[in-house]
Amino acid sequence: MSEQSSFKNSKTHVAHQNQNAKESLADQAAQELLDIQTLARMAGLERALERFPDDLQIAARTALKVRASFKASSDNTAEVWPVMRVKS
Amino acid sequence: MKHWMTVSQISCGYAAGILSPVALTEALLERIEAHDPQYHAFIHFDRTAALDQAMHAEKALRAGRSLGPLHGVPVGIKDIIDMAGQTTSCHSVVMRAHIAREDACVVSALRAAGAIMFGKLSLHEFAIGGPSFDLPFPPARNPWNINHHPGGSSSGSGTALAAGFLPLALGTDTGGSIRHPAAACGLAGLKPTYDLVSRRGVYPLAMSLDHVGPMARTVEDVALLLDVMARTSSAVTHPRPLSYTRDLKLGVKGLRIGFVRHFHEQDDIADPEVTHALEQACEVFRSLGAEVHDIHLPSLQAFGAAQKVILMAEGWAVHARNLRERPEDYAQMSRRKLLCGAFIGGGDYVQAMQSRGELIDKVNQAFGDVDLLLAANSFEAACRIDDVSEAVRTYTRQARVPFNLTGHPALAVMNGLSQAGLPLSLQLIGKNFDEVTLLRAGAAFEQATPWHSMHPELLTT
Repeated sequence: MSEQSSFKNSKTHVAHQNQNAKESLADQAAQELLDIQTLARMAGLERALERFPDDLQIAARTALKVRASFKASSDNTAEVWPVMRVKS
Repeated sequence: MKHWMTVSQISCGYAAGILSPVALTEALLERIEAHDPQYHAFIHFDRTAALDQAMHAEKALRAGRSLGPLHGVPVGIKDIIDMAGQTTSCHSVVMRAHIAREDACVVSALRAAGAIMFGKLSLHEFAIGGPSFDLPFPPARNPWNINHHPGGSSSGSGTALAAGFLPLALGTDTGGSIRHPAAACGLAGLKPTYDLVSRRGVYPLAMSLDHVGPMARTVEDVALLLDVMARTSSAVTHPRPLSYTRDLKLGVKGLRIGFVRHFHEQDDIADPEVTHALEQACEVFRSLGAEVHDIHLPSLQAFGAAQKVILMAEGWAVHARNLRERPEDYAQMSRRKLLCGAFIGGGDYVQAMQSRGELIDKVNQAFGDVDLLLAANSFEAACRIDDVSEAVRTYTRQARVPFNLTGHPALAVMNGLSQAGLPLSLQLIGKNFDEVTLLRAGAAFEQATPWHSMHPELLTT
């Protein structure tokens, strides 16, 4: 194989890799959208999904971001505050 | 000028017979009618009802029957708080048909104290979504500059006070909604200790974070309004002082103040004007005899993440049915915020509440070494109201949220003016149910600085 043809092959390979990465990202985004739609339906938000799909996507992504930024307590058996009180 | 009078000045005027409730009410109504069409502080005000109440108050005063310092004093009510027979709109289409059957506890207490109810004040929709321009009521404007945001969600309360429409107003605070308009409009605003003031008859945003509190142009007026509001307290284990004005003149000599510098210097970076005004405030407190030293709390991000999870989950619980059945009746901003809760799980909520317990313990531990905390309020002066993305961005740049999560009382006090002529503000935070010390320090700062006596000039039509 000539040097020129090897270079050409490597360029084609990188282009394929980029294309694959793009497709993979597109697949992920499509899957995420489907997940959001499924969760929205499970929450009874069909009407909002139909009329305000962008709002639902933004809300879901915001919630995901907040959940990711939240660090849970090291003691997962701690009682929540405020604690349960009996009602008289 | 009647429209800048404090509650004490009004009471003295009534006692001396040089001012009457009717004369004051007429003067304020005239000012509201002249300016509110531009500033939009009110959703509803009723001239006839206000004058009727003023005449009633005047008659009682003439007969020597004063009900106390708020007798004959006008008050505005954030329109998320019930007044019997009136719509509680929550600034939303969703609630247009909701007519309150009875007064909220705080409104009953104010009526019993002889206050004059001037009407319902605008807010961010359901105390979360604003400023929004896709609602039937326009958002309130900042009297210091009509093109700027007055803060929120108690935006009408902030606007009405700064515009000289009223001496007193009620606000609510779930993530800073009293202290934000207090900051943007150059006012005093108190988020009391959780449970010090009843929430009964107040439409919830997130029950475990919601607080009802007083707003005014001076710390003394905040204390006088709190005296009445705290009569509704359900926190029976904590005895109330005879009056929250008790120590206002004691000064701060000997008080230990912990300055939470890392909130605005490390966790996020405040505008240099805000930082400079805070340093100057430290110097004021030192010059008055307080000890001020830096103190470390958990990061703003730690408080903020737990608060957001709780707010989303509780807000969703309140609004789920309406968001399922009539999402189109919400403004876009509140719809987007309230829908977040649909994607938060029960486990997330429980973990956030566990984390909340730990954060409360850490703040309480800090209070072992100090009497008060000093922290930034907003990290910059109010942005333009028509720049919605900037309003959203700057709302998160603040140090108010930690104390909704922990329940500690927090007082906003004006501490400067930006180069653009917009108010700057600081926060003082107290031990639980120690509003007396908190207000004492706020009053000492106020008396040592010129800010509380500055008022904006309103545009004339």
